[in-house]
Amino acid sequence: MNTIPPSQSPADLLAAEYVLGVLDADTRRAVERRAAREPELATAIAAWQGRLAPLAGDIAPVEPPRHVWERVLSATNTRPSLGGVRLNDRGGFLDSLAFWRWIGGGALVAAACLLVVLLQSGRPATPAPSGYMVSTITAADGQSGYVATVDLANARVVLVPIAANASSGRVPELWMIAPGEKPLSLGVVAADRPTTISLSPSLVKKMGPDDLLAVSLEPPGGSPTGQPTGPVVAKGQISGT
Amino acid sequence: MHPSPPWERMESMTPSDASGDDLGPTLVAVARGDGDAFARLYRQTSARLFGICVRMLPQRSDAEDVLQDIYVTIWNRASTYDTTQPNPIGWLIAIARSKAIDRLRTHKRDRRNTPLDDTTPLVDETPSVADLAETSDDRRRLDSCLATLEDRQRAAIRQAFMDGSTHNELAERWAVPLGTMKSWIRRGLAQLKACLER
Repeated sequence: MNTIPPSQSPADLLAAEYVLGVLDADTRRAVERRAAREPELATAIAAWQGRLAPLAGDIAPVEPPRHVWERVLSATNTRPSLGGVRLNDRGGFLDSLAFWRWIGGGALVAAACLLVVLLQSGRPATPAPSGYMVSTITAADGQSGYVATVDLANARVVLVPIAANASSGRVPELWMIAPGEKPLSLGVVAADRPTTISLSPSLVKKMGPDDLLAVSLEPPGGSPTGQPTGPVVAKGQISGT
Repeated sequence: MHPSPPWERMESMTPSDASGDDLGPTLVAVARGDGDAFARLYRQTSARLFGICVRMLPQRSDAEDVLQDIYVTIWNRASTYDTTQPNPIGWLIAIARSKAIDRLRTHKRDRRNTPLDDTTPLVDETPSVADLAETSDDRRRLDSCLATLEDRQRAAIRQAFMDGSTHNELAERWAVPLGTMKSWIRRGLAQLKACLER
């Protein structure tokens, strides 16, 4: 227990510490210079990146603000065509409609009407970032679901399952849907215990009583596309307290 | 000519994430200078990589700057991505963490004064929601090997990975001598490797 196993060469240990991120700036630069000359060290670094990468799955995704993408475009002098550049803007209308059809289930017409109403109503007044908002996210059968409390002051949402939410091999993912916009992932949540999700300040500012929260079932690790890919099992509107 | 950073030489990444499935062809297209593919890549991966930046960097503006730097790097270096690798998202995560850690180091003095918050428990990280989510073989294997470590070794490694803290910072936060912290992490990493190779 107290000895370092023989498989750990000094170079491999250095690679491990480099990838883990515990080295200071000077040592990091030195490791990178060495790795450029020593294939063995470079290979060890790659191997450690592979070993530790799954830990990043514990970090909740956060939607970056749009201006970052604009700065990336400008810095790389890239000009994607219109189809490629759209991110979370209203250009996502068709995707959004598809999603609404989906969560509408059989009630296609009702969902489409609701969408029209939401699009016409425009953005709700922006609430001050204080206080709480709640949402009961329920399944069609009313037997399962979650209660979400949005804590505006601390920029977080706490999601509490109110009944067993069984999901064979799939995991629940929480989405916020502002009227007329694409669903925005708030992250993967637990089916059997409370989950706290941090919200970006820009998201907190945006969040309003006309927004919906929805839970879909996604592959392990969350939706691979950034949009819901599995069935929506529960949804509910946000309301102030 | 700068030495090429190590992430350009990754050879043996293992899959860690379902979202890596269709990123390979996208990266190949990005390497050809396909702007639409680049936009697609950003759309598919930016929330995950920004999550990493936000977790590691206390200042939101730093996180945004670093995310920009990450994608500029991806655009410039996509041609060095080895398409035979099974795990493009792992390559992207390695770039993101490395950039975020470099930024952290330039703000070391500020960070030392950052108070602990409830997301960085001292003893052990509560298993996160993604413990439930990540059921890939690699994730399961890593978890079962982490479980064989002593609590403090596991907690130190996890916290270092999540926050990008140096040996020194971890030792200060945990109020243990530097040598003790180094040795926990070294032994933990060595045992982890031995277990994963079993």
